[in-house]
Amino acid sequence: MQEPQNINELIRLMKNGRNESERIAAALDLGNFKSKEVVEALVEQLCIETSRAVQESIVSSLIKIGNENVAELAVELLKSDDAYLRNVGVEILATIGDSALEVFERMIMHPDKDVRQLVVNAIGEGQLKEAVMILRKVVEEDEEENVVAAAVEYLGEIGGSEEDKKAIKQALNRFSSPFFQYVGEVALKKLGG
Amino acid sequence: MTAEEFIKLRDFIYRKTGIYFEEQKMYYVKNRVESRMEATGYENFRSYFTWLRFDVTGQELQQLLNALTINETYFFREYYQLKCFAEEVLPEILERKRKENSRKIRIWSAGCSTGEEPYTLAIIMKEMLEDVDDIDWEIYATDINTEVLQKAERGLYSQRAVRLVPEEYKKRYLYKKGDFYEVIPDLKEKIIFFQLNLMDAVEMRKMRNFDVIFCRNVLIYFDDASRRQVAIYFYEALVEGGYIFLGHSESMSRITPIFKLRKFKNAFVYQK
Repeated sequence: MQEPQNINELIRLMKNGRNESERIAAALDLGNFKSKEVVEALVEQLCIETSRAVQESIVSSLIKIGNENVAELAVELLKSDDAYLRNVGVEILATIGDSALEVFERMIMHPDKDVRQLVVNAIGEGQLKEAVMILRKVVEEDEEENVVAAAVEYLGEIGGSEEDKKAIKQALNRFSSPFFQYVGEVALKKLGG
Repeated sequence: MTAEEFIKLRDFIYRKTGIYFEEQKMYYVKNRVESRMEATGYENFRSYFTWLRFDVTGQELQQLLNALTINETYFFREYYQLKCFAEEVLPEILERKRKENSRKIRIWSAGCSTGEEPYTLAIIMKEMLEDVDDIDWEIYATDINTEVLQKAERGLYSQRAVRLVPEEYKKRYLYKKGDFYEVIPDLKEKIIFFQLNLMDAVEMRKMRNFDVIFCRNVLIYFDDASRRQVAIYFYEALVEGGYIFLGHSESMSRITPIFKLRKFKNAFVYQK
């Protein structure tokens, strides 16, 4: 069998290869290309793909590519009705970290609280120290208790500045539920405040 | 080696192999790097690292990897998994082979280190298939570390390494050589040892049609993204319904959902 020479051929094989194995191989090979066209094809296929193994190969390639194009499209997965797609969206964003900072900044303003919560999870799970400012902004400004609580929890793990502690203390004044008070106190303890 | 230098080296090794050393492994890495610097006559890390990166032969990288990936093991390690393989998984495979009119069982010991695992598997295969004439089998044993592979091929082990081998098996498959035990030639010839980087896409695609993969306590050296990639390669390497054994503290479900978890009496095993 001849080796596929170009991106279009690989995309075709990923979508319509003769068997799962050929489609997995094509999806993995596409991870060697960084263009927007490839990222779009991978994400599009991820959303309609029926084989979990091909989906996992696509996720693997998206993480390998790991650029801003991936971040832009992976964030769309957070809005999916499919729990698997939402989870891999968080995982991709958490893993590619730095490339996703701009996207994170934009998405914490998203009108859907569930999307905002998943963005916070991605920052926290990725332990992205560069995104601490974004977490702090959520703690200071978000109106949704659960979103803020998640941000406080992660800020307790990866934050550390006086500003972080101050933001958490202010949030403790905004949300009075026992749950929130507990999460806030634990975070402050971790930060030594 | 400073913390910054450690990170540079760590990232370089990760890009080349997928093996990821956490910060807490810094002193482990530092000790081994210093041994390599001493052996090669480099007095400072900077010049050693420059040489390492631009050495076109790749020999020093291999030597360093050899020093970093030595994994002490022994025969019949995690016995309950081997019992599961011998008494529960293998009969299923035999039944399937007969239905498919197929004669060959292929097993892969991935990350075989100094060979204790593949030889243990060979002993089990010999014992379990003693009265089975219509089935042939072979074991592929791979590791990234060329030094351990040399030891594995030699098949010479200390008393400590063979301490869990039942006496009857010791008599049949090992012979005493001074303070050591050597594996009998009949067992050695059933195993094909060779070097393989589990992150090498080209080489991994050559690994196909395995009925069982043993990859115990190997993926712990990889980061999440590399683990998923290797798991996909394993999926591709297995026949439909093939099995994969991981170390007792490892979970494939945490890496990828593509394998089914099978609960046997003696152990949990993942299946394609």
